[in-house]
Amino acid sequence: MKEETTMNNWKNFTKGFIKENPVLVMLLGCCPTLGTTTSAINGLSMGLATTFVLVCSNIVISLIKNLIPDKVRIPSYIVVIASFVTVIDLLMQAYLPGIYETLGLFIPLIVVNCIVLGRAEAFASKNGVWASCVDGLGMGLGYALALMILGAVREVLGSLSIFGWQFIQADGILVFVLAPGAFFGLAYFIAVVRRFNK
Amino acid sequence: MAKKQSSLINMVLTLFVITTVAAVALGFVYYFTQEPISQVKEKRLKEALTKVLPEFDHQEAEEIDGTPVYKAFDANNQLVGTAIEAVTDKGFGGDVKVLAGFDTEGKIFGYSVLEHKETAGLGSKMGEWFQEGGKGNVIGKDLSTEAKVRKDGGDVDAITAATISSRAFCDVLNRAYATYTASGNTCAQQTEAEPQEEVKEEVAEKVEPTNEGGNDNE
Repeated sequence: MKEETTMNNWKNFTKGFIKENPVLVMLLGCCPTLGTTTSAINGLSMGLATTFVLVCSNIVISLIKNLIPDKVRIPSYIVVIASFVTVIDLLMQAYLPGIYETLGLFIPLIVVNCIVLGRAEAFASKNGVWASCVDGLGMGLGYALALMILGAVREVLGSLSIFGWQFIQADGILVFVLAPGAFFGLAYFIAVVRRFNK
Repeated sequence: MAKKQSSLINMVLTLFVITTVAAVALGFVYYFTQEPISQVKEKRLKEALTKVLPEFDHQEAEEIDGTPVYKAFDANNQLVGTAIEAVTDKGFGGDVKVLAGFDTEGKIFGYSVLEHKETAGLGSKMGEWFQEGGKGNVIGKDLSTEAKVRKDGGDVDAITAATISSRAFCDVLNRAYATYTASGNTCAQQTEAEPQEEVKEEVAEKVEPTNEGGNDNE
């Protein structure tokens, strides 16, 4: 029984990366994915902010799941999620002003990110604290990874730089920095992952 | 392990407790982050001021029609420049807020984009594009002739593929200049006084320095 739990935990953790990757397989949370991945660092910070919210909300929701009547569970979850989003919003403003400036608009939108509510509903409301924490961490990091890679691709093609380091002094393919480039990049990314996920 | 029943009283109570706890928790976080947040803002402003103004010793802040104006003085209490925090809503993605610094002759000494929501990779270049050495350099420009992009008959080189953002930038500079003149900068006679904030129509006339600086700036 003990071994099984460790196995399960490991599975819960890793499934978020490829097998059930929120963006690439489940296609959840596409709005911030398309909006924030103009550069690798933006994608990564957005992913990590979401991870923080995801882990915290998963933990709290798995703790209080039995205290919440079924009919009001969604509003309750949203309140919990929204509180954590506001917390990270304030913390980023105070301690990471540079990143906050680029992501500011999208941070409040984490509230409506389907991944967070989706995991609360699909996992945290049915599993224990530890499993939910692991699930949130795995899903969040998988999300962050996908966003970072997509951001890196767009940054390389669009502005010929990576993590802010310009390797060729010229203008890139502009469309990749703009909204259409996000769709192109995401589409190819999903296609590739699906090919190998079979 | 039994789940709570979805009775009315249970639901109301649960939501009440959850929202109360959330509100209290947020109040705490807000309380503890308030100070660092205002410090960050202050620090940014200071950095921006040193960037857009000649070296100064101390500064005075005031407000003209809701627009913050920072006057910088050297150690001998001589005015060395004025910085104006101007906002326009004509940006491509929303408001553009720029801190524009003017020297005592009314020429642009420097600028710093404080806030914008322009497209990344296009309009977002305005932070560098109009600086000295940038392609659309506006530093040293005298704004008694309205700043305009070339497309509109002006002499400011717009950012490639971001004319609207560039227009917004020009607009914000013009607004800053209007406030600058309204701030009644006390220096030197060579300053051409712009009589009013509205400088839409008679630009061509005002360019001529015929009005001996005798206009009352209000």
